[in-house]
Formats: sequence, C-alpha cells, structure tokens
Amino acid sequence: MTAAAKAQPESLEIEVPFWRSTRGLIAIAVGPFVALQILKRVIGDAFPDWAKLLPDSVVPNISEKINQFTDHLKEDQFLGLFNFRQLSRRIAGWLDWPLDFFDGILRTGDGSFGIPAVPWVAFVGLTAILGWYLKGWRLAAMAGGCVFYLAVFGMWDNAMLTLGAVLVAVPAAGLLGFGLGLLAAKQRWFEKILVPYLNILQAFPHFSYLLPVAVFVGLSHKAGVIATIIFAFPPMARLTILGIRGIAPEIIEAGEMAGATPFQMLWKVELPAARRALMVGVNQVIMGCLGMVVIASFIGTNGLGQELRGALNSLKIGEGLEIGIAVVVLAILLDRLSQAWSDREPEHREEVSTGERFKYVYAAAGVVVFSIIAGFVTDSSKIYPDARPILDEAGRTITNADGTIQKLDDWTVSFSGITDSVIDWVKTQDAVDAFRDFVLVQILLPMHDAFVAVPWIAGLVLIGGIGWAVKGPKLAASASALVAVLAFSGWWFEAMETTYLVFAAVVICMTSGVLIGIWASGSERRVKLTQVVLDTFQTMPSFIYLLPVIMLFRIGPVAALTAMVIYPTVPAVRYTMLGLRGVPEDKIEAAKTSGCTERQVLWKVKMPLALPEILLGLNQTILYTLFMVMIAAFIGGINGLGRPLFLSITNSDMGAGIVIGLCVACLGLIPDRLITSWASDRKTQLGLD
Amino acid sequence: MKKLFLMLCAVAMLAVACGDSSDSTSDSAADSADPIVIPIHNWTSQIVGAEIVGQILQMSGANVEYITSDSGAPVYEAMCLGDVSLVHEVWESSFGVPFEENVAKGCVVDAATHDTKTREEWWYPAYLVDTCPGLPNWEALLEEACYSALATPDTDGNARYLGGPVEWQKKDPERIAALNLPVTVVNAGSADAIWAELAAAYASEEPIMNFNWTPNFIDAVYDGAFVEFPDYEDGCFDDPAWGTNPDSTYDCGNPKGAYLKIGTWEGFEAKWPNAYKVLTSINFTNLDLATMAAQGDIDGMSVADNAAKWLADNSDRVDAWVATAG
Amino acid sequence: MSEAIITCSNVWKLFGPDPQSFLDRHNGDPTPEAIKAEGYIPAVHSATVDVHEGEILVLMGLSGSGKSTLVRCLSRLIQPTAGMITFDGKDLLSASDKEMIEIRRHKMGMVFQHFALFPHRTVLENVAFPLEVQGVARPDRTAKAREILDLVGLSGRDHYYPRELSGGQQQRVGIGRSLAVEPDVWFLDEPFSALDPLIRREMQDEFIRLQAQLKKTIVFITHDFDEAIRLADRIAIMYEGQIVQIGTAEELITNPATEYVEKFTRDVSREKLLSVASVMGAPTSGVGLSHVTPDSKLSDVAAQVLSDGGPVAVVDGTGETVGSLTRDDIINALFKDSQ
Repeated sequence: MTAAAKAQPESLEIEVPFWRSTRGLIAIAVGPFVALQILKRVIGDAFPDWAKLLPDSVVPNISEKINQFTDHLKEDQFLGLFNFRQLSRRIAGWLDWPLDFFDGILRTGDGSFGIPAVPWVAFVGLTAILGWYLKGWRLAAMAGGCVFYLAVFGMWDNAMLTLGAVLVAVPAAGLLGFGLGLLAAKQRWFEKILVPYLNILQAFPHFSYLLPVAVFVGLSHKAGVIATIIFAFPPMARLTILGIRGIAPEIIEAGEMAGATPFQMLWKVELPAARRALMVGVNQVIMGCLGMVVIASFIGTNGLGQELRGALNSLKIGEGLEIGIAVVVLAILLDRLSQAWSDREPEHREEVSTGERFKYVYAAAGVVVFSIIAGFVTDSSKIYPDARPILDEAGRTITNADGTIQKLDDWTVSFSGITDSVIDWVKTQDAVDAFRDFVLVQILLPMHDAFVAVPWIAGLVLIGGIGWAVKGPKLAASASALVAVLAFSGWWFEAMETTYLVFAAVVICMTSGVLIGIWASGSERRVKLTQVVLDTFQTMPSFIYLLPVIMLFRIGPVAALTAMVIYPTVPAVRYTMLGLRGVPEDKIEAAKTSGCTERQVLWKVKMPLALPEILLGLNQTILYTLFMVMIAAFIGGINGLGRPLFLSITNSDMGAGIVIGLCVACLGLIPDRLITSWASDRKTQLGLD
Repeated sequence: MKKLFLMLCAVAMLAVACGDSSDSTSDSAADSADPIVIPIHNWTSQIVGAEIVGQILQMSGANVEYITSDSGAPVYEAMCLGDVSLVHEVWESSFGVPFEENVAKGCVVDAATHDTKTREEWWYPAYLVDTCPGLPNWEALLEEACYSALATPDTDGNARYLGGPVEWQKKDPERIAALNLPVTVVNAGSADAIWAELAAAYASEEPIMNFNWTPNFIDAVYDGAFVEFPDYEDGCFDDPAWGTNPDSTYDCGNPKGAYLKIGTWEGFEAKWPNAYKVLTSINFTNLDLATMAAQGDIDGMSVADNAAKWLADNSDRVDAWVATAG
Repeated sequence: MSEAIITCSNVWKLFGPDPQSFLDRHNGDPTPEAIKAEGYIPAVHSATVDVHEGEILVLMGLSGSGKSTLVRCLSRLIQPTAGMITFDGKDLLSASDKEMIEIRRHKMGMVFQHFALFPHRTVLENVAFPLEVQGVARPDRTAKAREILDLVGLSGRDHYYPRELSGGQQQRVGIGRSLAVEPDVWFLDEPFSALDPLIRREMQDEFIRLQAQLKKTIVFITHDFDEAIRLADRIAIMYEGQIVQIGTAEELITNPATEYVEKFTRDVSREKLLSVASVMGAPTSGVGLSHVTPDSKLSDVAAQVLSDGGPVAVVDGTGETVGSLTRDDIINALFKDSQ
C-alpha cells in the first residue's frame, strides 16, 4: 500500500475525446485511407518523385555495411587467435552432445554399450503412464494415442528426429529466455536493453533467423536447432520478467522477513511463486520450437520438417497433410503434458497403501518388462513394421543373404490417397478458376495499385497522425519513425506490395474471425469445440496451408492470399471469444433488465466492451499475417518483401536479409504500437483492467 | 563490467580450445568413420541422385548422412566449411558462380564432371507456335498477339513466365530488362509446382511459358522446345558492352551444353580416400538424369523406390564404380 | 514504564524524483505545502514513536495514511529517506544487509494482510520456512513447526497446501510462520482485515490468547478502531504520513489532539471504553448503598447506576471513596456529541 501505488482513474464519466471513442477508432481506421484515395484523385501526381520513393542516392547503404561486418566476423582473426565464425561454430558444436544423446535414446540406440533405442511399444506405454500420472486416464489415452499415431502412419523415424531436436531446443531456449528474463527482472538497465530487442525479435519473420545461423554455424541438423532456439526464446524471457515482477510484494516481504539470503530468495521464494508464468513461457517455447523446426529444414534440420518440405515440393498433398498432422500430434502431446504439469496444484496426500502410492512406478515397470519380453517374441514390437521404403518386383519383400525371399510386414496406414482424390476432384471444377479471376481482377489488383501508389511521405504523415490522435506526440514520433525506417531502407515499394496483401488478408481474417468468435461464444459447448479446432489450426506447421492452394489456384496472389488467411484467423477468433466472455456478468444483467433483446445485448453492450480485446486480436492477426505472407513467398507468384528475403538467403546476402527482416518487423510494429496503446487506454477508461 | 568481459573471453578461449578435433584428417589410408554429408535439394533428379550416390558410397564402406538445404550459395559455403561433403549436381548456369568462387578460394574441389550436358532455359509447348509464329526465336515474344496471349490478370498485360524457385538464381528479371521484353516473371516454389501447372495448361492447350531444363522427363511427355535467346558467350554476364544491349549484362540466353559437375570439400580426399575414388568415378549421363526424373515425376515412385530401381537397372556400372575403391 | 525496544525518531519516507536532496534543501523539515508543490508524496512524515517491551502498539489510520510504510521502515523492508531507528539499542538503518538478515532471522516476525503464504509449500513447510533458511536441520525444524501449529490450532493440517485452507486458517499459518523463530518483536500488518467479520472476531480472541501466553512486543496495524481498542495498549493515529496522536484508547477519546482524531473516535461505543474514573464527579453525599470501582467500564455499571436513580459512590481498591457517578454523568459522557 505504498503511496506510489497507481492512481485510480478519477471517474468513469470523464469526457471521452472523440478520437478515443469507438466511433473515433473507426474514423481513424477508415478515414485516412479514404482521404488518401481522394487526395490521389484530386492532386494526382502532385507529390514530387522524392516524396514517393526515395532516390537510391539518399538510401544509406546499410546492407553493404552489414556485409562488410559479416565478412570481418567470418574471416578476420581477433586477438590473432580465431575469428568469430570459428568461435560460433565451436560453441554450436556443444549441441552435438545432447542431440546425439536424445537421438540415441529415441532412434539409434547406443552401439558401444549395446543399448537399443526405446521400442515404440514402450514409448507408447510410458507416455500414456506419464499422462495418467499428470492428469488421469483421459490424458493417458490421448498421449498414448498421439505416439501411436506416429507409428501407425509410418512417421516414427522422422518424428523421433524432430522430437529429439525439440527436446534439445526447448530446454535450451527456455534456459536462455529464463536467464535473460531473470537478469532483466532484477536489473532495470538490462530490461531497458532487452525489451525493445525482444519486440523486434518477435516481429522478425521466421526466415530471417535462417541466414545468420547458416553463415555463422553452417548447414546442419544442429544449425536448424540453433535457429529454433533463437526463434523460440523471447516469450520465455518476457514471461520470466512478467512472472518475477508479478509476484505479490507481500510474498517477497515474507521471504525477506524470514531472513532469506538473495539466493534463497530466488530459489525458494521467487521461482516457485512465479511458477505459473514460467510454465506458460515453457509452453510457448514448445509451440515456438515446433513451429520453427519445419522451417529450419531449410538449413539442414532433419525430421518431419524435411519430409514435409519434400512432400510440398512434389505436391503430394495427402502425404504432406499426414506429416503436418504428425507435427500437430507432437505439438499436442508436448503441449498437453506440459500444461497438465503446470496445472497441477499441489495437494495434500491422504495416507494410502504402498500399492496405491507406487502405482505409477509399477505400471511403468510393467510396460518396460512387457516390451522387453515382446522384443524377444518379435522385432515388430521394437521397430514398427514399415516396408514402404523398400521395393522389389514381387512387392514388399527383401532377399536375404542366403537367397531366401522374405515378405515384409507393413503395418502402416495412410489416408493420403483419399485426400489426393478429393483435391483432384475440386481442382477440376470451373468455379475455382472463375472465383480466382474474380478475386484477382475485381479486388486484389485495384487494391494493389492503390497501395503501391502511396508515397512514403504520405504514409509517414498518415501514421504519425494516427499516432497523435491515439495517444499524442510521443506515439506519433515513434510510429512515424518506424515508417521512416521503411522509407530509408530502400524497400518502400516492396513493403507496400506486402502491405496490400497483408491488408486484404487481415480484412478477411478479422471479418470471419469476429463472426466465428461471436458464434462460438454463444455456449459453453461451442467454446470447447472451437478451442479444439483453433488449437489444431494453430499448431499445424504453417507450410501446410500452402499445399492445397497451389493445387487449387494457379501460382499467384490469390493462391498466396488463400494460404495466408487460415492461420491468422485463429487469434481473431480467440480474442473475440476472450473479449465477449470477459464482459462482466452484471453489465449483461443490467442490459437484459433494461429490456434489451439478445441482439441488442450483443451490439450495444458486449461488443463495445469487448472491443479492446478484439483489437488486441487484430494486432496478433496482423503479426501472423505478416509471417504467413513471408512463408507464402515460398509458393511464389507474389511480389513484395518475401521474394528478396528468399533471394538474400540463397545468395548468402546477410545485409539484405537483415534489412528486409527489419522492414517486416517495422510493418508489424507500427500497428502493434498503435493498437496496444489504444486498447490499453480504452480498457482503463472502461474500467476493465 | 570488466569481470563480465573477462569471463566472456574465458568462455571464448575455452570454446575454441575444447572444440572437437574431427576436422583434422588422419594420414592412414583407411576412410574416416565420420559420415559423408550429402545435401538434398528440391528437384527430382537431384533428390534421387543423392540417394544413389549415398548408397554407392555406402557400398564402398562409408557412412553417409543427408541434410536438406538451399541449393544456392549457402550450400557452397557449407561445402567450403566442410559441413557438407559434396554436391553431386552442380549445374553450370544455376550454381556456376558460387561453385567457382569457392573453388577459387581453394576450399572446394572441382572433383569430377559428368558426361551430362545441361541446358536450362525458357520452354514452351509446341502448340504455342500457333499463337507466337516466330518461336523459337525470342523476338516472337515482342509481338503483341504473343505476349498478350500469355498474359494473366496479375501480370499487367505482360506475358507470364513461370520461373523456377528463387533459389535457383536465374537472372530472369535482368534478362527481361536487358532485352526489353514485355514479360513478368512469376517464381514457382518448387519444380513440381511448375510441372503441375504445365500439366493443367497442356491438357487444355492454354498458352504457357515456363522454366525447364535438360536432361529432364519433360521431353518424354510433352511436345515443346526451348526459346532461343542470343547465344551465350563469355562476357554476356559480366560485360555490359557485349550483346544487343550495350548498356546491360544478361542480354543473352543461358549456356547450352553446360557442365554438370561433382564438387567436394577440400578435405574430402584426405579424409575418405577410398570414397573419393568411388565418388569421382561416378558419371551420370543425360539419360540417367532423365530416367530418374521420369520415374519420380511421371511414374510417381518414392525416392527410395526410384533409387533402388535405378541402381538395379545399372548394377554393372555401379559395381565398376564401387570397384575403384582400393 | 518498561524499556523501549524500538525507537523511531523523525523518520521520513518520501516518494518522488530525488527525495534525499529535497529534504536536504528544506533542512530536513519541509512543510506539507512544499512537499505537494514539488510533487513528492510523503508516505511517512517525520514519525517519532517508541515501542516498549511487551506492549501492543497499534498503528491506526485509513488506507494511504502511511502506517504500512512506517512498519516497513521499522523492519527495514523499506529504507527510510531520513530519520533514526534503533532496535535493541543498535542503529538499524546502518546495519549491513548481512546484519539485517541476522536480525530478521532471530528477532523479528511479521504477519501480512493477505497472508503471503508460499503456495508451493505445505502448511508445515510454510511454518518451517524461516527455520529452513537459517539452516536448521530438518528434524528440528519440523518438530518446532509442529509445536507452533499446535499453538495456533492447526494440528493435523501439516500436509495441506495453503490453497486448501480457509482464510482464517491461512492466517493462522501466517501467524505460525512469523512465530517460528520466536521473535522479540512481532509486526502484524492488518492481519485480520481480509477476513469475514465473524472470523475476524474469533481471530482477535485467538490473538489475545496467544499474546497472554507469549507476551511479545507487538506493532499491530489496523484501520479498524474497534479492533485497535480491543487489542491495544497504546494507539498511534496516523494521518497523511504523520503520527497525529499517541495514547491509550481512553486518552484518545476523552482528549483528542485534533479534529481528525475526534472524528475517528466519535462512533466508538464509549460505554465499553470509558472508565468510571474518567467521567465521575467529586464525592458527594446522598449516595446509595451500592458502589462501583473507578476502573470499571461504563457499560458494566450503567444498569446499576440507572436503576439506582441517585448518585452511586465510586470506591477504589483500598475502600476509599474517590468520587460519585450520576445518571447525568453517564448520559453526558455517552452522548456528548449529540448535544
């Protein structure tokens, strides 16, 4: 109860400035766009050329500087001993040990000690028991089922490779994030450095992580793991700061009053008290890692990502979908187990019999004994029978050394044939082409022309103006500074080409997302159902969304747009649900007793109160769309920043790669600044904090 | 702060000091047990060929490991560092530049040249000649009837040229600018994306122009030809004065009869002397590559099946290659 | 009067951009106006108070009055901006971090408003925590913790987690934890204000019982004047960071130093608080047979006086008549404000 405590808003009846009201927001969002169009019509080419696109002569050649610096790090010795690349490669080499360790357990076994890899039967059983121990039989069935899926669909080897990579990347990213977060939570000056860095890092497209790692570590399985670690650690750092800062001051004081030393304080008081936030961080790290291991296959990571990319390259949709689901299955497995672990509230234990107390241990021992015995009976219990890679004239057989022919078991199943025929049928429908051409000609191309015609100076003024209206000169300055970065990067035109597609996708995602969110918040059951669907979509490797669209639509903007809209709709739905369900019950009751119909309750009470939350959803949607537009560049046919980003990787052009990555980050950070600022002010006004 | 710096220095020293010594090569004649790392890229013959090369090296007693990677500069840089041990399909007009750069540096060895002669160029189906009578001459593309037939809504009136993945480093935009062509490049994400579109267009005889190369399976399935640009000569890619456009490079086609090479890391021969002998004896012909591509892209064989079939069909040659090991 | 364990003189705690130099500029005694003008917030404004051995000193004030901050200065959870605090005769403010850890480990205990229990530890582990950080061996600290749990009436709940207990039970754990090291001084920061009224009452009784047994030196914070009256030996009333008056409850009621104190005391049930001695008149004739003692509370004697009709003699322990009490005396004392 220090006097420095945050001042309460004086009264809720204060005059809300127009710009911060809901109507004002709409005006802010739509008005400038309309104004700009009118401006364009009226004054036409009134903008001088330099105001439209900065001439190359004033664009600072940062890429060149970065490349020089990179070369310096790659080639030049410092202290006359070694160069930076040698150092980074050596440090990266330390990852070999844990990677080999997990690979040994999961796949190869250990030859020198004659220890085999964990048989699939044992893995299924042990995972189920872990689920049982953490939560109960439902989780047990789910966890066991997940592992079983990997075996049945013939994904075992690749899934274990990916799992091994994730099991190394998650603790590494977790510890890195935790360490940095802890330091930031304890030292203000470090927080001031770290947080802006995290902001930029989290707005960087996935692909931007690849090139620096490729340059300083090389191409290899572990290089991909390192890119994954770097990609996945920021949420952990953030949540560590949040968790440590969020501990009730009384808890800290209780620790101090007990006379705890700083170390005891950290270890016995702060960390356990921040456990929830830390576990959320771990969970996000897991998700981040699984999202990245697929993309990391570009720089040599083996496993499901590599397979998926192969399937994508050869347009094998059914197969790709199965691999994608395998990634989802791994994600769900790790997510649910870690969630169950973090949800476990400690509970006192009644006195129980020894058998009851050690039931999990007994069960696990049972599984181990069973799989050892089964191993003597048949090898099929160790390695799931999967004959697909082997071909012989007579079908799935191999010829033994003594000349006998042996038919191989194949227990794997696949539904890829069905998927493929569905896609084949759809793509022959004429309506598909008609739809594509309509969207392209009527909607996308006019939008494209409007966006690329925006002079950078107009963008600067526009964004600055919005910032001023939302919060004042400070926000105006920071937002327009980000626009200036885009203009001076020399990539303004490409950035606007990207923006147009992002804009189109965001409109689609938000419209459908909010509508789905409204529908879903209707009942408890719908909420549950929607959650499951959203979780699945969100954990699907983003590449998956590219698959069907290249088959359906010719390579081009419509295909890219279609690939882009599914994933970013997820946060739109999520936050709409969150906002609507977070409306205080008494407000709804007040509306009902005032005689509102259901519809009136929704539009006059719930939606305005949920708006700040929905806008935070918009913010996420924009970020996700930006990630997707970069990934969509992989299927080609769109211009913008994606193509040069790919080109920078393939040319090992660090400078261009980093500058383009920064541009994408700026595109994400501009709406982020504006929206989060507006939403948090609005929440305070509405007393929803 | 000073303490921190000293600590960082200590860590750095330690890192370098305890680094593994697997890079060092042994003088004994026996091959190292460390795996030979073979990259996998994104077109069929390369993927299948990688599997074949890997199996052949395994027959000679080597351990092999695969990694997927970008086929552009990064893989040559990786080969320079020894992360990747070899690249068995170095296409001159796609990857000649990064390959030769690293060979010049000395960290990559130009180990062998396949008999295969390659060409990578713009390609069109035969029926397109009805619309663009001047083909195969590139100037046919300057006719309005031709380029507007090839136009799609998103190309702003220009002809649409379906190029390969960005990472194949084709200088299409440069060439279009140099020759002042009314063409827009649309880059596909993978080779198969091109083939899928070609198949659809070919079935209904829609105009299409796309990237293709030889040896490939395309000639076996589709009737068509390469566009003939001004012949490539030394200087076209780096001397603006060369060619029809005096102010610009790339005013020519890609080299015809270009090489297909095997490159290795400089330490390959010393580390795996036997495997090196086998590897350098491997020699793919145009037919080999076309067969691999056809088995995969037409017959839909899995990579493993495809490689197994090729190895079985060519067992004599394979045995001879393996036999070169001491 | 017994010896002061804690002395606190002219303690300041200012929040603001640079409190130290601000105080220096105003010779250590800025006026409230100056403080306000420069945007500082005086959480504690020149507080001077002693805590005597074995007494219960209640710091009383509304929220934001600085009582919590002051008690945190006394335990040095917060470093005061200026002033002097001694603990057991030693200068507390110059103690090193290490010394502070030692002092807290052995001489101070604190109970918190929201219990501040460690959610990840069982009841037993919570109570044993202060011993654990001292490095007391597990069997010893467990035994001690069990003993304490007995004392606070929680035996049998050793292995429950805080989440599984009611609010009252949780605060018993909090009290138990603060007593585990047998501290000399016991700080209680609004320990019962988060509890339901009925439970609060019960906990106050429990507290009185415990104190009768333990006889600690106590600094107790509350915003509830009734609670202060029930428990306090002395009450210090705080307003905007300043201690406006220190005294027994009766002194505060009969002789409020400021209007603020008077407003505070207005609504208390005076009959339970005022003693006969504070309202009686001079000895007079015509008293009846019955008599009352001077230290009885008015509530105990009212019925007797009112039914007697005439004045009642006030007779002290030695049998001497020290005064008389009339019906009017009582009515005047109880309803002074309404006149």
